Amino acid sequence: MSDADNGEQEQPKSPEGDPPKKQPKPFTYRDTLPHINFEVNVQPYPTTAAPTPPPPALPAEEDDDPRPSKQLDLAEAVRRYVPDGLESLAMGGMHMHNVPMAFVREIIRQKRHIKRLITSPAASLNADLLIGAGLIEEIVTPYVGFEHLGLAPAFRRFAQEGRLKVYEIDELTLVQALRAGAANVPLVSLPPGLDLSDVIRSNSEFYRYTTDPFTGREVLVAPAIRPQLAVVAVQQADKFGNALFKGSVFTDREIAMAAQTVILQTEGIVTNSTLTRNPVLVGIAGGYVTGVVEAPFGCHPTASHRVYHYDEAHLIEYLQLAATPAGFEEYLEKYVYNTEVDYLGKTAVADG
Amino acid sequence: MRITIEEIGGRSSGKPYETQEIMAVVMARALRDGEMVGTGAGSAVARAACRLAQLLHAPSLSYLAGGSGAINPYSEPLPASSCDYGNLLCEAVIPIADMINSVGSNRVDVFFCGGLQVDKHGNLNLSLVGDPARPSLRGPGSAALPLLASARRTIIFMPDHNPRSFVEKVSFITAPGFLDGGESWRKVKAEGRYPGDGPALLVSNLGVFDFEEESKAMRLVSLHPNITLEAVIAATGFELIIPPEVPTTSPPNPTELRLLRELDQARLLKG
Repeated sequence: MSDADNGEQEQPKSPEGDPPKKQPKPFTYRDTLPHINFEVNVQPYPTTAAPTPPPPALPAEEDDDPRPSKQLDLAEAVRRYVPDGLESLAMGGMHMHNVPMAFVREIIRQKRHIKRLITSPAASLNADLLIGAGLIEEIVTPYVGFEHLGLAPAFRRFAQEGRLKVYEIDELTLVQALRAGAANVPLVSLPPGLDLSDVIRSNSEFYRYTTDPFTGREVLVAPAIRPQLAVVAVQQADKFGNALFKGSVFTDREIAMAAQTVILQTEGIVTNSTLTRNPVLVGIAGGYVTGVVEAPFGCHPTASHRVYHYDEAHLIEYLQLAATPAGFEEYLEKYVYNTEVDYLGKTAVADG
Repeated sequence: MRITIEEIGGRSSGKPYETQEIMAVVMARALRDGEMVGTGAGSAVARAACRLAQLLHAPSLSYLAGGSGAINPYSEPLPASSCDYGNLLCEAVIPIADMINSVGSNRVDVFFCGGLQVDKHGNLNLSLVGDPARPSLRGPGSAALPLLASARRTIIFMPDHNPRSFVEKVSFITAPGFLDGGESWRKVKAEGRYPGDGPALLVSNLGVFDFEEESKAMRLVSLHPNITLEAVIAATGFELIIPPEVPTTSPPNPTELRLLRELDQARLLKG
């Protein structure tokens, strides 16, 4: 960047011939940025006013950034971070929203077994596909289902046949246990009223009583949760792992902060300055992230907030097929076993 | 008072209103101004009820839209999913952890809930039927429901009233209601282990119910229009308390129905 570019006048030299003390303000790429909202997915309403010129193309500024890129492709991310027999995997999103489905499909393609799946407060197709593919030994979850669309067929089948160990916990315990995991706190105590539920009595792995040393009363406690790996889907991330949620964050921050390794699945890689223009909105900071995987439409058939809605027809097709083991296998054959490109080709909204 | 099709300007289905619409209206009428209301998964009818109450008699009611983190969504149009981006067209968005903690810390006045099964004392089961290690029916799971003793009161909605969903005693209490009845509930309450007041109302596709003060057993309050007492008795797997006089649920009035359909543009509450 030459000095002439910043538009400052060259200072006249002092009579002694010394250069002036005042240094020109360093010109950065940020100075060229137009002050626009970067939420580009919302089309403006048509107006009669003259169209505004398009913003200048973003230069490849990160070519000079000394930090190494954390970007890697989907297959490589699963090969590297999901060893067969992974101790525990936590996954972000909630119900059929912001669920890292491309990552789930790749785990199935590479047939990586996972000892313990830890879900967000509500899992849907992510848990059901991994369970149905026989890759999950036990699940820690408050809910696996498809909300108004129905129950989770593979989860039901495997649990009812005794092929899946279910550690059912409530949402509050999950969130507090993740926060405890993030803070290296060994356990959390839980509010009164909770212990009246049979969920507590049926899961001694997660719920036990101890004595509150301050009052002498009995108190319900749960252990911290520290997932070995967390996978979280975001709408934008830079290649250093800074990430932005355009809609609901759900419990993705709790999940990411509690995990030992965090992989982001993003709808698109953006430049660092796109995010740092408003750092308040950056939901996950790059320093906590190990890898970034770009997977456009990678949450499909679940929604990616502010980018696309969930594909209800596809989810219903899944629920119908997965009602039987043969149908479940048919779904995998049709949509999962090939490649992600193939998946998107089959599920693209061809009819507009 | 029966409203006519002409009054509401629709005539396609031949029904003046849908079953879930009368449920939403009954649920809205049960909310008071200034209250904070929690809703969860699969609860379009509950969110519609909250918004309807805000538009009619409870302008300063606050409601939380499940996992989306949204407070006071405009719900126009009403989203089907509790976590939908559409809910973020709202007054405020808070972290879901704060939302869940609001229930645990007794800040929620009313929580709308449902389940696979409800029993005579308002206990709900969303978890499982049979042996926990090998259940005969595995349900979706508890979500936030084990916390419901911490809500000031709950309103249960059950859109499919049948003998399998209305049982004498649930085999697994996901969400505590009145436990084994009045005596057991009052004991737990006296010990300080039940912060709230339990289920206040149950709305099904057949009628409206509450819980008798002494026994805390389910009691019929009103029958929805065109539903007979025999049909409710046949659809309930235990003995209901039936008062000598059973009124008919007052159907949605034209204003309620118009507002509801302005919200529910996709007609999620149909059928």
